[in-house]
Amino acid sequence: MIPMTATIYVKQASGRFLHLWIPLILLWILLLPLLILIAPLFLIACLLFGLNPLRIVYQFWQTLSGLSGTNAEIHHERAHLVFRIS
Amino acid sequence: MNEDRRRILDMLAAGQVTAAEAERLLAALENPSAAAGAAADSGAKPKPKFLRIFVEGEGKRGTPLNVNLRVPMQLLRAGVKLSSILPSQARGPIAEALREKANVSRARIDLTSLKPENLEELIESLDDLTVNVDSHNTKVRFTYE
Repeated sequence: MIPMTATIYVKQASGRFLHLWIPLILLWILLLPLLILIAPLFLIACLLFGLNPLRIVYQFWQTLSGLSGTNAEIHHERAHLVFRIS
Repeated sequence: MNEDRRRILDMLAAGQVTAAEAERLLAALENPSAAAGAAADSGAKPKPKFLRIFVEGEGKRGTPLNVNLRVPMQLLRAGVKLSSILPSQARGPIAEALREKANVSRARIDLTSLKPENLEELIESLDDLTVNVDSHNTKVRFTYE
């Protein structure tokens, strides 16, 4: 399953914090028309380079799906940052 | 009688499994959670799902800086497979650029030798492995979970 949400949490030492919840599903919906537009170009490029377009789409889908569960935390005395994809 | 039970009995009748094995299979059918527990007790370890990278270092003014990364193994697998579908025309320039980088950083990376089956082999051998890297004031630790 491709990631649906991303969360960014930043907390400064002063106590101020920012909590962002990004619904990635909206991003995918917005990108869909663009993907449809570039599909013919993609197919032409695949034909030129002798690549299997289905295999490429599948691998990109796998990579995108693999992003789910990614988590990054950076802790510094001035700020604490958490980035999560789920 | 459900289909799974009938199949087990057929296997027993055909001599494909012993009576004891058939009994175990039937017990597993009746209580799947107990069967899963037994499998876990018998030493079947789950495959690692995430690569964890911990970095403990110092910031610009010597202040402590900790980084904790969790990367899904599925992403690593997909990334390696993605590199295998690169067109042959692109592999040459990429290999050349990596060679130039390697001359600077001494870290040799060869994309052509990176194969999905090698990664699977590597992941299997990474069971319970922890790698510690100490360099000046920075510690890097890799674990799998």
